[in-house]
Amino acid sequence: MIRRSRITQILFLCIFLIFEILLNTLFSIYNFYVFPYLFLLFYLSRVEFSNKSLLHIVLIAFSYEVLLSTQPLGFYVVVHLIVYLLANIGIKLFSNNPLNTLNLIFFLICFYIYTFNTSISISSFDVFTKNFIINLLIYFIFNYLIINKND
Amino acid sequence: MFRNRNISIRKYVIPIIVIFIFCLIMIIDVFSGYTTLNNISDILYFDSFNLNFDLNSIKVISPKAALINENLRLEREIIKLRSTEEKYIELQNLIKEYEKISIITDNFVKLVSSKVIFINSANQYILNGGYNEGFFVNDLVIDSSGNIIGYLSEVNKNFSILEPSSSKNFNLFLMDENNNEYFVTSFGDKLSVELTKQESKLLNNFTLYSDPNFGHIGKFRFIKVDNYDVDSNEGDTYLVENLDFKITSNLNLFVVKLDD
Repeated sequence: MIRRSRITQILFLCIFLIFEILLNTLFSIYNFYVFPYLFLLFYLSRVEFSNKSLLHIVLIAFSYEVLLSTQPLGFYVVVHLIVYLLANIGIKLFSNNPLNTLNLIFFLICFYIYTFNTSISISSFDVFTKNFIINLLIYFIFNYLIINKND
Repeated sequence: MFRNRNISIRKYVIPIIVIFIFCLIMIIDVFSGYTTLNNISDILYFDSFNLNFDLNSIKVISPKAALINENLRLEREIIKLRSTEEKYIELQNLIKEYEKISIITDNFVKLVSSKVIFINSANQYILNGGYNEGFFVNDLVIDSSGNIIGYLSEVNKNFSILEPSSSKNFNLFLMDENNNEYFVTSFGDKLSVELTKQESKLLNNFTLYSDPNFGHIGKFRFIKVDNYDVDSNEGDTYLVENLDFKITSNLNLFVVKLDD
């Protein structure tokens, strides 16, 4: 379990989300998107699935919603929580190994839910597939380097 | 590959409840026209910091496709604006000409605007508007100065054929200031003005006008007969230079109709 103060953990999540926004803003002209916050949601759902983390996610998604989003209120909270929930169910049901086929399918579902808004506006299967493969590769690296070490 | 693990349903209850609550909030927000979010922003004074900008413009989600679509939309908008501007200028010119001609015409006369669409192989001027505009054969056609250009020799559903004074088939009964009647025919570059009925003294210089006696609507000027040759064979026939102007698609023509 990660032992951190509540503020540190919220800041940690916020920094990831801001990093994601900046990164994707820079690469958006190439239709190249990486979602570190999605990996973090996966990570949290695996190592720290609790009501405390849930509260942090809700707080961050809600602030993001109110401050920056034009989506209906609650959209990102629902999206982030569904990913958080599904990731945990996937890990519990199948395995910790991201190479597991069912885990891959779960990752695809979570990826689609997380990028639902982006996928609509991109409206290109090629771009979606390219981004999925890139994110999957990063997720494998992230998984082996960070998650497995922490386990 | 597949591991059986006991999943405690209980720990998912709270996340599901939270998701359900936020789904409800989202539905309420959508059906209330996104006012909830604005109200929260107002309460938190975020508006004063100008922070409620569009996330789509910076996030993840500000994709090239959206920019391309926006670009296309703007291009279409510009094309539409340009055509509207052209139409606006055209209409303004038409208004000016209507204003100019309204001084000459009477209230009971209705002028229907028309233009030359093309000239066919028989060298006939095709005007837009036909029965659909209420045009009939022999309706007079005038220009923006109120001068008679010709008349309609043929009318179809949505186009008509103009018989201008330069046409060799042109023939028209007209009247001068002293109610003397004339029959005008054309040789192309010259007009033959034949006196058909003398009511009063003939003037050396006279102007020919249309007249209701010949089935015309209103009184419009045709030509001033001042510099003429007298036909040697027939003493009452004058040969006059034809009007020197070109009928083009830029020329606004008006078909004279009776106002309903």
